Amino acid sequence: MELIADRITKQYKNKIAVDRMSFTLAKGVTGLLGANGAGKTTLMRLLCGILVPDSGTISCDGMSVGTEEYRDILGYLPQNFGYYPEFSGKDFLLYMSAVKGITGKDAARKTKELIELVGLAEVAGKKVRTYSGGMRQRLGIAQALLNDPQILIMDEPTAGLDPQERIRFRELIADIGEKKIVLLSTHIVSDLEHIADRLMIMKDGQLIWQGSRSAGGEDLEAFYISKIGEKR
Amino acid sequence: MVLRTLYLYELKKIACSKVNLIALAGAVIMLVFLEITSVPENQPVSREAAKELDGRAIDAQLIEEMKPAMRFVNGYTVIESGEENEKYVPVMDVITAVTGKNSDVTKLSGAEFYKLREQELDHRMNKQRLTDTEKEFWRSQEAQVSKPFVYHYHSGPGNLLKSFQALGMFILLLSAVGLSGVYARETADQMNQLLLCSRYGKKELYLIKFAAGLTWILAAALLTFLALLIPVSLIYGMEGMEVMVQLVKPWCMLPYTLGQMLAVFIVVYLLAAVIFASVTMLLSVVTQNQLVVTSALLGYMLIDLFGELPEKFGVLQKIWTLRPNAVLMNTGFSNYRLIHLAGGLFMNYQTAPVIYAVISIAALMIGRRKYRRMQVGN
Repeated sequence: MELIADRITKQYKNKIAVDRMSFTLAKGVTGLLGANGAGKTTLMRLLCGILVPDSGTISCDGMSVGTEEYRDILGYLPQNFGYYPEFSGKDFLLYMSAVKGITGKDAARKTKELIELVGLAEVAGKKVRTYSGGMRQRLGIAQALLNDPQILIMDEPTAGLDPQERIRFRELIADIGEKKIVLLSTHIVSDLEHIADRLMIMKDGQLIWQGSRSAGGEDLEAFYISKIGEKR
Repeated sequence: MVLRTLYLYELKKIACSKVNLIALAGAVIMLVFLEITSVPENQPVSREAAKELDGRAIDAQLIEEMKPAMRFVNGYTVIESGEENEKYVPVMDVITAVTGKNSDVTKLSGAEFYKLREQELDHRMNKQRLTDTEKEFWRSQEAQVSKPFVYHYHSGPGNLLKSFQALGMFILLLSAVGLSGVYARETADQMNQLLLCSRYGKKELYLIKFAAGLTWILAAALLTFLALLIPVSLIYGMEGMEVMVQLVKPWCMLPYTLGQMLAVFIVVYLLAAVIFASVTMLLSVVTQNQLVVTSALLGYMLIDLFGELPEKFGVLQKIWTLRPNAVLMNTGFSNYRLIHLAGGLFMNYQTAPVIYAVISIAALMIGRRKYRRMQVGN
């Protein structure tokens, strides 16, 4: 399975957020690096089909991003998202299961499994409004995994997680990346050091570098800074 | 199964929202309060006294019989106080509804009462610029209204009928408060990002949200109706459903009973709830801004309450009088404008429900198109 972006461009009024980007994502974890405002979130939204490019195409094994089939194999964790104050964590996951088309028993089983996986078992029955930022982030991660996605796109997934949770999360992502396409964006380079197979670096809407993680050497942060600097 | 689950969760989002619950409870309490506090005005005499003249024709004989009990004071004709005169009070209300409260009924003869009504009906039809065909239509309806009117106790159904305008306003308010965020809130809470990239998030979810919104508004319409029906039944009883509607609405030229008219109003009311909900949800999809939708609907409510288009506006004026609260309001009975369609003439009570259904379906379709094209952060 391959996710192919071909010369995709997205422009907002007088700013080009994504500028003629082409790449192919295959099985494994791809880290998307870039400073704030580089265009990472816009790119991820384009890949999720919730934003339409001005030009270029995105497809996965012949499926366009706008199709129900594509959405069925997609998991997405946005950088920020709200919650329904009247829902408990469990309700939220059951609701998202229904939106993702997961039927009754499977939804209940998957919800229980993921609640335990992200360490929210004790608070699953409590209203989401009582959750801390880290707990909400874990709930977001759980909802992204509900449909066992073949393509997992995560925008700043470690934001709000404490160090221990971050380590657990990295292990989880590394595990998922063995069988599926995972794209995760961050500006914390250390998050990618041990789990990314490939890297993409964005600056001002352009893809300025892409290649294997090993090409980045031991000090990934220095490599990233050097690449960002090169273009200046 | 999945869609049912989704529907129940969408319903939960609306029904468990504190704002919605407070608004609904407030509407119910207000309606009960208004009904209870208007008892002295709606039924100034006991139920027994109001029933004494049951079955009596309002004719020359009864008017003459009433005259010794009448007094014209300070420009008003009143029934003199006294237990033996109480029975005349509800009949007097029917008479003054035709003659006007400031006329001297002590000088009115039985024949004049119906002539006065006929003249006023002609005047109103002319004022509304009805064509001869339209006038003929109404005269044929009026010919079926039996005269003289026969008095029967009717406080329950009569008061219920008069209260539909208030119900219409409350349901518009509940729609503006409760449904303006059905789609807009997902954008405000940034939940659209999750929903729109999920399998059922683009097509099915739109329809399910719409269905949940309609369920909520119909449940609210039913509850607010019950908030009127229960106190009215307890205070006045529901006798009088078979009474001619003219005892409550003298300018109505339809040969209907109060019960039949109530049935028509309930249908119009429920369809009004549906159209308010459909338009609210359409605005919610289009604007993606709950505050804008609520403000727009509250603005419409004010125009609806106080805005009137003069007769010279012709078709526009005709359309304006078909809005839900105009049909449900007391003056809806004296709106004689007819719609000419396929060689037939249709009254506002026949046309309005069809128009509401068409607008609701159009709102559903337009909203669906807009929702499918929705993007995040564009």
